[in-house]
Amino acid sequence: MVDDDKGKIEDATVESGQTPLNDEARRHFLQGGIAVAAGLVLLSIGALDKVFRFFFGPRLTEQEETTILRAHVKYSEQTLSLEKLELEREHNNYIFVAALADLDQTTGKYFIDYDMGPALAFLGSDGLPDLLSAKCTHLGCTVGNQTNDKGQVLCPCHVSYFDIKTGAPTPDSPAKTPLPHLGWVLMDKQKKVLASRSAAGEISGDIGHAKQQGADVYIQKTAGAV
Amino acid sequence: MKMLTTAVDFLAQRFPVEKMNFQSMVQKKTVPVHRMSWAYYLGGLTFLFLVIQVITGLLLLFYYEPTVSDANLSVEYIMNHVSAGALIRNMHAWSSSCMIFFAAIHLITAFAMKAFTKPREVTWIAGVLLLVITMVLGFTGYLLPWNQIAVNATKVGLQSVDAVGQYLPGALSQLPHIVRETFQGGPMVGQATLTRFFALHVVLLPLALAGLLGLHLLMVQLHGMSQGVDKVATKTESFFPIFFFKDLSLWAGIFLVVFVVALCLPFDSFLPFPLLEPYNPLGATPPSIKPEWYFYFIYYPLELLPFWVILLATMLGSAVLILTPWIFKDTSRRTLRYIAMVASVYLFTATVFGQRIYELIKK
Amino acid sequence: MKAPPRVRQSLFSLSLASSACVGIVLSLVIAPPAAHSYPAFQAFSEKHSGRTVNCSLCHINDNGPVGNEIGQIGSLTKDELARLNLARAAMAPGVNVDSPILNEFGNHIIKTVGRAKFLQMMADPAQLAPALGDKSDLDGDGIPDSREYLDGTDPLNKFHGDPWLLFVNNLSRNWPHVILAVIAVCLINYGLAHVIQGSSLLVKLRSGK
Repeated sequence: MVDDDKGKIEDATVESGQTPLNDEARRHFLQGGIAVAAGLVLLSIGALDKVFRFFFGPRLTEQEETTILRAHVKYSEQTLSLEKLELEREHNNYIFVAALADLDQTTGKYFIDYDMGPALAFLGSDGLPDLLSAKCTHLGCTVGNQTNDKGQVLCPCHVSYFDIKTGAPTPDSPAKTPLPHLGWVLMDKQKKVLASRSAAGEISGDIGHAKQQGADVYIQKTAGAV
Repeated sequence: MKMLTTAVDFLAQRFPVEKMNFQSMVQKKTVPVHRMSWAYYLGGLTFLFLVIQVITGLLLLFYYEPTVSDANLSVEYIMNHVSAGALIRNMHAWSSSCMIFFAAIHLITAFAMKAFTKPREVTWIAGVLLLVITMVLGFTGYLLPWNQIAVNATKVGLQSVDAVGQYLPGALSQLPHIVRETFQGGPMVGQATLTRFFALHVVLLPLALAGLLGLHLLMVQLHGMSQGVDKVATKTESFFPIFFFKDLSLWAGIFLVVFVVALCLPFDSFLPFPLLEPYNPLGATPPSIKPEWYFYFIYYPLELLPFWVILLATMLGSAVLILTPWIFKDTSRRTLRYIAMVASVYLFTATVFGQRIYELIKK
Repeated sequence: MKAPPRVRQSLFSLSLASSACVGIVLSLVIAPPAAHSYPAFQAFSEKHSGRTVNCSLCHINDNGPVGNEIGQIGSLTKDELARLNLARAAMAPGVNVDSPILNEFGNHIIKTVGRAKFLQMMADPAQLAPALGDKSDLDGDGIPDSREYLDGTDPLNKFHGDPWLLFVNNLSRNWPHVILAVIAVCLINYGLAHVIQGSSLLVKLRSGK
C-alpha cells in the first residue's frame, strides 16, 4: 500500500514537474500563434485592396484609354508594315527603289534593302545610281540623306561622316568601317533588265540605252538574303 | 547479372524507400549544429524565391501579351495602370536575380561541405540541373519585355551557339546553326522566338524544374542533412519543428527586404534608358548591350579570350560539375573549401569588376 | 483685243516673279527642312553621367530626327511640318511648342529656354540643367528633369532615374506600406520565436520521458 502510494506520489511529482514546462510551452504557442496570426492579418489587409483591384482590372480615364489605343495602333501598324516589307522581300527577286530620273546627287532617297536594313539611293556623277547601306557601321543608327559640300553624309548619333562614293568614314569619325555599297538593276517599264551593277562594281548590260530609256532602279535578291 | 546487381544496389542506396515514412523524414530528422550550419538555410531561401517567382509570374500572366506588337505595351500597361503591377513586376525581376544568386551560393557551399558524396550523388546532380534550368529560365524570361536589351541580348546569346560550328567537322558544323534556328523558330529573332521562349518560360521549364525539385527535396528528406564538417557535430536540432520554424522566420525577414526593394527600387533603373525602348528592327542597335549579370562570368571572358578557350573551359567545367561526386569523393573538405573560395572569388570578380577589367585590357 | 507688247512683257515678268515667290513659299512649307541634330547635349549627358544616352532623350525616335520612320522628318505630314516650323520659330521662351519630332522633354526644353538660347548652349551644354531649373518633373518620379539630364536617365519614365534617389523618393512616398510590412514581419518573427521556444520545451519534455 505504502509502495503504491510512494509510486503514485513519485508519479505525481514527475507530472507536477512536467506541468510547469507544459504550461510554459502552451503559453509560448499561444503567444506565438497570436503574433503570427496578427502579422498575417496585417499583411492581408495591406494586400487585399490591391489584390481585389488587380483582378478587377484597371479602370482608365478616356484620355488614358485613347493614349493606350493610339500606342497599340502605332505598334500594330509598325508590325504590319514590317511584315509587308518582309513578304515583299520573300516573294520578289527585285525590289523597286526609284525611277532613275528621280534620283539626286546630293539628296539620297531612303529605301529598305533585302536584309531589312535602311539604305540610300543617290545619283552618281556618271548618271548611274549609287546605292549604299544607310546603317551606320559604328552603332547602327540611320545616317542622314543630305550630303555636305564634300559629298559626305552624316550619322547624327555620334557624328560620323561617310563619303557616298567610297562609303568610307572620315578618319576622325567614331565609325571605322565603310558603309557597304549595294548592287542595282536598271529595268524598263516592261520589267526587262537593261543593265546592272554588282556590289563589287561590275557592270553588265547597255548602260547608255538604259539611261535613255528612263529606266527604274531596282535591287536584286542575292543568295542568303531574307 | 553482376551489373544488374550493382545497379540495383546503387539505386537501393540512393533511394532508401524504407525511410519514406513520416517518422524518418519528419519526426526523427535532425540538423547538425556547427559553424557551417548557416549554409543549411540556403536551399530553403532559393525555394522561397522560386515560390515568389511562381506567384508573381502567374499574376503577370493575367496581363502580359506575348506578341511582338503588344509585348512591350503590355509590360508598360502592367507597370503604369494595373494595381500593384509595378510592385509585382519588380518583385519578379528582383526575385529572379536573388534566386539565381542563392542557388549558386547553395551549390558552392554544398560543394565545400562535401554534401555530394555517397549516397547523395543524385541530390547533387539534380541540384546542378536545377541551377542550369534556373539560368535558362532567366535567359528566356529576359526576352519577354521585347525591348532593345531583351531582343539584342538574346541575339548575342544565341549567336554564340553558332560560333561552335567552326570547330566541328564537315556537315556537323551546321548543327549549331540548326540548333540556334530551332531555338529561334526561324532565321531571325522574331515572333516565333517570342512565342516559344514564352512557352519555355511559363510551362516547359517550370514543369522540368518542379520534377527535378521534387526529386531533389525527396533525396534531401530521405538522406537527411549532410554532416557538413569533418568533426561530427555533437549538437543537433530537430528538423521539425525547430529548424523548420527558424527557416520560416528567415524567409519572413528576407521577404520583407525583397518587398521593400521591389516597392522602392525599379529593377530597370540600373539599365541605360535606350535599352528599355521598344525593340525596333529597322532602328539603331543601342550600345551597352549585355546579358544579365549572372552571365557575366562567361560573357567577359568571351569578349577577352578566343572562343575555343571559353568553349573548352565551359565543357570541362560542366563535366566536372556533373561528375563532382566521383572526381572529389576522396578530396578533403579543406581542399574543397579552398576550391570553392577560388571559384567564388572568380565569380565575384567577373560579375562585379568584369566591365572595368574589360575596359582596362582593351585600352 | 490683244494687249500691247510692253504690257504683255510686263505681265509675263510679273507672272514669272509671282510663280517664283509662290514656289519659294511652297518649298519652305511643303519640302522637308534640313535635318538638325544636337549631339552636343547627348554627348555631355553621357560623359557627365557615365550612362549611355541616345536621341530619345529629347526626340520621339531613338534613331534621331533623320529618316522616314515615326517621329522623323521624312515621315511628317503637311500639318506636322507646319508644327515643326512653328517650333523652330520659337526663339523666345514661354511659347507652347509641339514639335512632331520632339518628345515631351524636348518640347519642354524649347518652351522653357527658347530655341535661341538653346542653340547658344550648344557651346556649353552643362548650362541646360540650371536653365531648366528644379521645379519641372515631367514623369513625377521625384527627380527634377534637370537632374535626370545630368544623370543620363529618362525624364519621361517614372521607373527610371538614379537608383539611390529613386529608392529614397519611393521610400518616402510608400512609408505607410513599408512600416506596416515591417510591423507585420516583426510580429510574425516574434510569433515564430515563441513557437520555436515552445517546440524546444516540448522536445525537451519528450526526451525527458
